Amino acid sequence: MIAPSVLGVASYWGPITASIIMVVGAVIAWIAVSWSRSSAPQDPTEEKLATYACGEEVKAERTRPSDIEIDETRPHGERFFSPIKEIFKGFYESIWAGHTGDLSTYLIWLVFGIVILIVLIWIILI
Amino acid sequence: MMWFAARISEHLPIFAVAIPLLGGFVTPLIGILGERWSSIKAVDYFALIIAVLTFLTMIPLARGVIGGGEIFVYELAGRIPPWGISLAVDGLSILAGLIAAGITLAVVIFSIGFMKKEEGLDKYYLLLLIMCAGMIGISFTADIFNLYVFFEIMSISSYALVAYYRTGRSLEGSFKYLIMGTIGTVSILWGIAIVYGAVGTLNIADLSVRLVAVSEIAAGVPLSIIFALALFVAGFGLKIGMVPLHAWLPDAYQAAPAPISAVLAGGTTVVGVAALLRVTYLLFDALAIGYMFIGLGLITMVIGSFIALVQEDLKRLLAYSGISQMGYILLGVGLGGLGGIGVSEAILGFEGGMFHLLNNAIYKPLLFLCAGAVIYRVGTSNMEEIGGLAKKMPVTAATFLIGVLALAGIPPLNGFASKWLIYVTGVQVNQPILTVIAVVVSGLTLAYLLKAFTMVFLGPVPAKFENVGKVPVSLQIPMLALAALCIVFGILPGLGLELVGPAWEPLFDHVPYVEAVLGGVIP
Repeated sequence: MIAPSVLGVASYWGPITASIIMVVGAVIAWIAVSWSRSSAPQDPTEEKLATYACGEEVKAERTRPSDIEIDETRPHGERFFSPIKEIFKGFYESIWAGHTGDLSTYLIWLVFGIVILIVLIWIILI
Repeated sequence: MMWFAARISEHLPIFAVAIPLLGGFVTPLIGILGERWSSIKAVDYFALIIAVLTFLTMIPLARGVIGGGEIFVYELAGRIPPWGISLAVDGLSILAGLIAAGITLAVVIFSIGFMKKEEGLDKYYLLLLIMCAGMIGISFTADIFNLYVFFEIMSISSYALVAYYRTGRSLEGSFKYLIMGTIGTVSILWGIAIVYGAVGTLNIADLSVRLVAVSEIAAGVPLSIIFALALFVAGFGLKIGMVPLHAWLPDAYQAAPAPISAVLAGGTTVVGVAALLRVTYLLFDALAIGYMFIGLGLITMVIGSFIALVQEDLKRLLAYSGISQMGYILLGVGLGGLGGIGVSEAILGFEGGMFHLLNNAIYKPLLFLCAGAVIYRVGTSNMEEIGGLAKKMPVTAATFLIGVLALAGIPPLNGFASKWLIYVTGVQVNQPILTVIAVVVSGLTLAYLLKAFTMVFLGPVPAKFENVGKVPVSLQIPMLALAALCIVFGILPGLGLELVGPAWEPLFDHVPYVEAVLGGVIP
């Protein structure tokens, strides 16, 4: 009963074919990036280094981060996706209001959910 | 010898339920004997033997159902259906049963190492094995009242297991789960009472025939039947964590021991979905309810992923991720049930949904077991406190990464294959917006899971975890096995589709199931 068009390697829609296309695409992209890097190697000029450092002269050893700076680069949850949290602030605030951790809030959601289900099933089946 | 083997094989469906049930009750006795004989591992090995035996009973059944297209019907005490109690093993049953037995086996192996510092292991394994019996009973029963009984068996043991640590958090999580879960099971019981009152039978095959007849006589679906269906959907929906009935789930998953979170995420949700589909599509013949599954599936996947994005506890993040993945399953099976679409599109939708159900039962327990391995070594699942563990726990990091990529639907892993089928179905039924939403949510899934991987396994190691070592082999074996399955079903999706093929067929075509259970006689 398995549709051959779904499984068939020849079919565009087959997951195997799609996987191969994506992997080949990723390899082509990697080759393109590697080639572009080799054709334009990173070789910052003195002017560029000065610009990166807001105009001041940067000594070579200062470009290496200190131990404290390494620790600061350690991933912190609060910093992840902060733009998303900011953009969907209203959504998150309403979600937190429904997830207070209180059983009574959960029970309200439960009753609300069952009413939604009854109404939806009634609309669909009648 | 041949006669004995034949007799055994005749009774395999009941053995699959009875072995973990009776084995569970014998476990405390083994615990007492083990203490007397100073054999502290006796309970672990006894539970392992029971889990292996339970899994072994599934193999001939799976071979018959998936390979041979058979439906095994087992009549208890020789009473012919629709009277008496019977078990029926079709494609949907065996898929759910295999998953339940397989995850129980993986979790028992994991628990041998993970729980070795804990006390009361006889009670732990007693509850775990009874929960396994409940899951297999739900999958195999052909009787709607026994479906409720097995649901209660599974639920009550899981409430106790969530409270296993007896800390404030675990007791709170368990209590919330108990209250919410009880409302869910009472809804199911209420629904059973209504349909029994309407048609006077409890046998699922008989009920499906009679409910269709009632609708035909009444020239429409009676309001009482709609109410009963809503109660069933609410009861099962609560168990699988469908939004807006999901609130209990993150608390329970976070509070439970990690192996139990794995069973809840991969086992109980799978049998919950199987029961939901059997009741809605087979019992009530309500394929139109697919519209509702699509809507609720989209809401479930979007809300689950957005909340997962901001979690700081690994287990809680995985719990919300599980809610989100349930949305994909509902979307797939909902698309399959849509009216006005071709058979090939319907098949594609059901295949995608059921294949995702199977895949979810592989990578979700894998991720919870990896979280358990992290907790085993560092004692916390708070991602803010952990970091750089890839250097200390390379096997756990590698298997976690495989689970992350599989769950996010990255090719060539199993999650990609099933998500891809769901995406394609959305396009083929001329609803590309569904595909777009599903793809965007996959992107969010990858984002929050990579956040988890980065926080737990990358970066510098905190000084207090400098001496952390690898986890024992008994923890690594199930993680490696599940990671291997993620790769195998991703590279060979045909293998997974062959497993789930017989699972969606009864939803689409009830006649073989009804004929098998009622002995070929449709009243």
